[in-house]
Amino acid sequence: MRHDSSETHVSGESEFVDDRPFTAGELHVDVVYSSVAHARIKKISFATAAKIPAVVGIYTYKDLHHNKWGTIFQDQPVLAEDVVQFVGEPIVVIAAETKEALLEAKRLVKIDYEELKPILSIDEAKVQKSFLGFPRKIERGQVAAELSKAPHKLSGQVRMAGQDHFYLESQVSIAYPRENGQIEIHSSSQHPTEVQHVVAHALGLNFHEVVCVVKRMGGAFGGKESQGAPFAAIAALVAQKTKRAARIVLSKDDDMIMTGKRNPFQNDYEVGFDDDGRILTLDVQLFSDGGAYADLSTAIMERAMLHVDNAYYIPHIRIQGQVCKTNHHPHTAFRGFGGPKGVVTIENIIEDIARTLGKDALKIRKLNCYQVDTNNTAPYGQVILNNQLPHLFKTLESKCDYWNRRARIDELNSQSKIHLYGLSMTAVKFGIAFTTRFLNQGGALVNVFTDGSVQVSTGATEMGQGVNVRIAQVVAESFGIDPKLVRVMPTSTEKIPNTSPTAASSGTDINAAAALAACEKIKMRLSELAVKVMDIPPDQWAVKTAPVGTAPEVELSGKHVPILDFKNGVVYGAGSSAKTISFSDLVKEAYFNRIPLSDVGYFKYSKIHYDKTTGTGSPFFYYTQGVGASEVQIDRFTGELKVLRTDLLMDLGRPINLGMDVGQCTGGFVQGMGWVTTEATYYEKGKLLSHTPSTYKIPNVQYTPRAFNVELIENDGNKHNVGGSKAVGEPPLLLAVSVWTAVKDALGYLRPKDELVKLKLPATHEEIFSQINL
Amino acid sequence: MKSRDHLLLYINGERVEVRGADAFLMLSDYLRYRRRLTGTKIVCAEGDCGACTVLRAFPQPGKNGFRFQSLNSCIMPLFLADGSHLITIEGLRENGRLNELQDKMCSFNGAQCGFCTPGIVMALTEMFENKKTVTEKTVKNYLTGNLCRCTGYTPIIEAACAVEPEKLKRVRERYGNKAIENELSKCFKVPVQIEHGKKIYFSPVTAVEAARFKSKNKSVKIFSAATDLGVQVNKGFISNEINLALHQIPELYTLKKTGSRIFVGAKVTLTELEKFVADLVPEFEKFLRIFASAQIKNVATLAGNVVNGSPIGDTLPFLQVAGAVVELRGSKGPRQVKFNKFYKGYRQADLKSDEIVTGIHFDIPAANETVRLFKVSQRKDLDISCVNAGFRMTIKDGKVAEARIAFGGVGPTILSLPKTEGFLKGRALDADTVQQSVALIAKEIYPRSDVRGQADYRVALSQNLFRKFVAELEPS
Repeated sequence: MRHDSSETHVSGESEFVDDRPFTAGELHVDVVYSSVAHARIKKISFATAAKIPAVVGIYTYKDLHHNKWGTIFQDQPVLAEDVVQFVGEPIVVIAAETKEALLEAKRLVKIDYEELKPILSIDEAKVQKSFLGFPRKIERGQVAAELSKAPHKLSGQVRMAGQDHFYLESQVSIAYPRENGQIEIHSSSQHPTEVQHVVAHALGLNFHEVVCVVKRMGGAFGGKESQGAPFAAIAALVAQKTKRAARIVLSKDDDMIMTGKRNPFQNDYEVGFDDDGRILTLDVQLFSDGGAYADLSTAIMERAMLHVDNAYYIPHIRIQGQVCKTNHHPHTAFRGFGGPKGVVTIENIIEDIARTLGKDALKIRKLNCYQVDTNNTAPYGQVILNNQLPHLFKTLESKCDYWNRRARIDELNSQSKIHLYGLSMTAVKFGIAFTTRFLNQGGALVNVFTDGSVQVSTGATEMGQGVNVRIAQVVAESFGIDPKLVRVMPTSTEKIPNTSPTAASSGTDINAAAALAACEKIKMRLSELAVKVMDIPPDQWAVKTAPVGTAPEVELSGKHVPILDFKNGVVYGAGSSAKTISFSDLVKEAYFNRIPLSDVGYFKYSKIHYDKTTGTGSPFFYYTQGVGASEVQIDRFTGELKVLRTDLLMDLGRPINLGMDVGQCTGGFVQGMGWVTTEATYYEKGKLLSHTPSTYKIPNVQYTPRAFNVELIENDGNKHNVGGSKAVGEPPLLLAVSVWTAVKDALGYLRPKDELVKLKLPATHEEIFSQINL
Repeated sequence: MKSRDHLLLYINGERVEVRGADAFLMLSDYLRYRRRLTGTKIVCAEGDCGACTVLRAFPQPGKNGFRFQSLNSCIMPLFLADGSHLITIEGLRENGRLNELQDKMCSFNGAQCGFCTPGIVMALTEMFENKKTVTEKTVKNYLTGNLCRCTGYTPIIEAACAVEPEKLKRVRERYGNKAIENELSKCFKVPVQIEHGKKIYFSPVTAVEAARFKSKNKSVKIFSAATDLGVQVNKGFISNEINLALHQIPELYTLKKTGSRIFVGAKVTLTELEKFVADLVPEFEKFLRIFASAQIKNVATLAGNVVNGSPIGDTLPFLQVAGAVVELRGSKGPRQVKFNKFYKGYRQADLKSDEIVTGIHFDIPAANETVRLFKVSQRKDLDISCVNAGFRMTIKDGKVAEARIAFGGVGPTILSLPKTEGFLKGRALDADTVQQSVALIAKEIYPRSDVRGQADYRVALSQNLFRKFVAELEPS
């Protein structure tokens, strides 16, 4: 089934926030932000800017009722007060009637700084003990003892840089002032409830005075989980002050400078293994660059730690993590959250173990892979049920013809003077659920209309991933009606309150299940009604009799009754009864018998818990798993990289919408490829210089694997999730690590047999070049 | 001659006259905020993502018929679209229904978030204007200038390849209209002058008029294709108060081969040039294929790349080794400057205040010459180079008879390497020669570090490009 917005997408009719018509008197809003990484603000001068006739208002933190926000810790000012802590930190808000006036005013606002010493690296932060949140640890077994007796040991560091989300639609919000000081916000946000909260706090309102509506986003990828909220608050401030609609649309440059990226990580490790390559013990310390404020960095660190094991059983393991506070933009969620940073660490280690022992890395991976009945407990104590990893490795190994290709690459590398080839297969075992338990809940509202059509509202937000079409399919299947009769409505905090962000790949799991729960409640009533109506001659149905009052009303018992079969627009009587009634007739009967056709549903992942202080528990509802193999070609003279072929094999349970799921695989993988290769974030004194697509290169159509195969295995075993499906949003991104390890593999051919390849991430052509020409 | 005081254009078949301030808007802003055609998206405002792609046909002097070509509307001032018929995403539905391409984009899930989608559909629409059938390669070439962050492109490629071309009614069939074309052709013959406040737009019909206008207005900005100036306006680097356009000057559209030289008029687009040199200078054509995007090349010119003067301009190494000459027209007459003398310093060209570039001509390398062009960039396609290079060599009896070497991105201007060239003359390209050459190369270039690469890396890369050139030489 097609994406529910596909027709309007391809015809340009889909409405995004900035496509909304300007209302009378609507103001353009922009911010003046810090040009330095760390400074005391000495003076802000905007008198000249304020004199521009079309400038309506200029505001600072003093105009806000409450200036602190933050998803986990409320530590970040919406507008800087006396100190700025990163380049791009908003300081002054300007509202103007025209864009020209806005730009002119922006140039005329002068800010005097007294510069302070910034912290611009993880190393510096470690020295200064500049940290965010408490140090975390997951520990199992006897790491020190095992390390001391391990036959082989390796230690080292792996560094990963950040990544810009590069959602095509930059941060954008429109605030409409409503009666009694209420505010209606239209925002491009994955988390309307947080927008509602941040706006309410900033303006001094109760939550019930603020409504946030999200129709759709032009991409998000985690970048709009937390970081859309302050811009909504800025637009709302203007709306509150001026009683006029206020619109803020960031330029791509400003968006990239102001908003945080995927956290850079710097992980130190020591690993012990035996002659076969079996990992006996691992001691790893993760440090991330959190930027200037906490944002989601501590949760990201947690997920990184929970994914250091990835697909591999490590009996004795200690994983420690600490977020560093620096003077970069506050880093944030990005597809995969911490997962990729844990996975790169272990996959890198495995490549090095293989090299040390002179073995193929695939053999090491298979040897250490979590098994089905044994060696299947994760370091934090969760048992990996329904584990498909050994099957995935084995299947892809043969499907992608790994060993023949390995032999061919060995030969090519010994002959070609121009090119160098590499091949690698990596895995993903992605834990599904927010690691913070209370976020794993969701609500839905299902409204059935008297013609048999249905509107559904949930807390899920549509960012292209197809959560809405999946919800519509689940609801349509539940009612047994044509999916065309189901419309998923814009997400609004007035429809579904207290929602969680659409994140952690859980959008469909939680929200489709909540919608299903609502459907079940309605179906329960309809079933009891159907049984009764089927016994009434149609000419005495309420649709005919109720308007004139000639027949008694059908009343329901309110008790649990068996739910009938709803299929193909028809409701079938129970047992051998051949009686039926069409769904549309039945809902009319319900209306005329005063039986509610609307209900709310609720869902939470059950049986999950995680103690953050001890690093133990079963945080995940289940795992989404997969393997990916990539072959790369490197130009020996320039370091330029081509991905010749990629094969992905995923376990996605029973997909609700195969097309959407495969789209998440190809899209996630290519996005991950960008992170591990071309997407270099280049900073100078804390300012991101690669803040445009002319300097920050995400993959374009030419930069995709030359051959790209995506396949799914069959797995009916994930029964406790909605429709037996599995979450898919993030996991495929992590398989792009195979491109990076393939580069490592290729570079290994240039080295003496046991010399390790220390490759940074991303493997830009400059990085690869420097590795070739050591 | 009487001049016109407004812009005349057609948008999806509808006639529009534009006067006053709106003439100075960017085309994308005009479409979105004046005409409510919000399907055209603005993302990067610098022509790098293609979300703003629309199609345009205009009465190109010397050409018969209107051809609809894609362009980036976010960096094109509306005045440059004067005389055009523009097609936006809103113009594609046929009788209210999705067309074949749109339908396939839906059924193959070519759209996820939908923000890049209108631009992608427009770029593919241009492809089907030019191609009867398409392959994966064709699709990739036409989508080089469109970024999508959701799909990984695979579903889009599949959708485009699944289009049944006979079911797709082409834009030219739907919107081609003799009456409109005649009206636009006629209006193109008259100069245009629009004034609004301090802003002036002037579009003459002869090069002499252009030169005169330039000499009278010191702060004039010449908007030829605006693929760079449009970006600078968007980012607030320059203000566009006095604007001169060249697209109504027929003499600038000349593209011809004269003996062993090719002459390229200042308004010849890179798309046309790419086609023209396909047989004559295949290496240059191959290079132009990875240069920029369809949307950029459909408007951008060789002259623009030269006048822009960026030391990393991608056509520069070729022009340097191909003995190019720049043709200029001043208010008092024409002048010629050798390309290797054209740059006086970083972005400083030998261009007098009353001169405009009218064309460039260069050698067609002979059959016994080897020409190789290289660019190294973060991403192979549509990326500004870190280093680019041109090598032109004649090898006789195993020895270098003639050598020309040019490097870009390693100095304030495009650089020739006379010492290395001199050293190579008369030598066999053996290991010793290569080793000594690369040592000389390092002495003749002086790059700086920036976002696209560190200085020492650029030196090593330049040396390696020479090594690569030698390694890839056909064994003779």
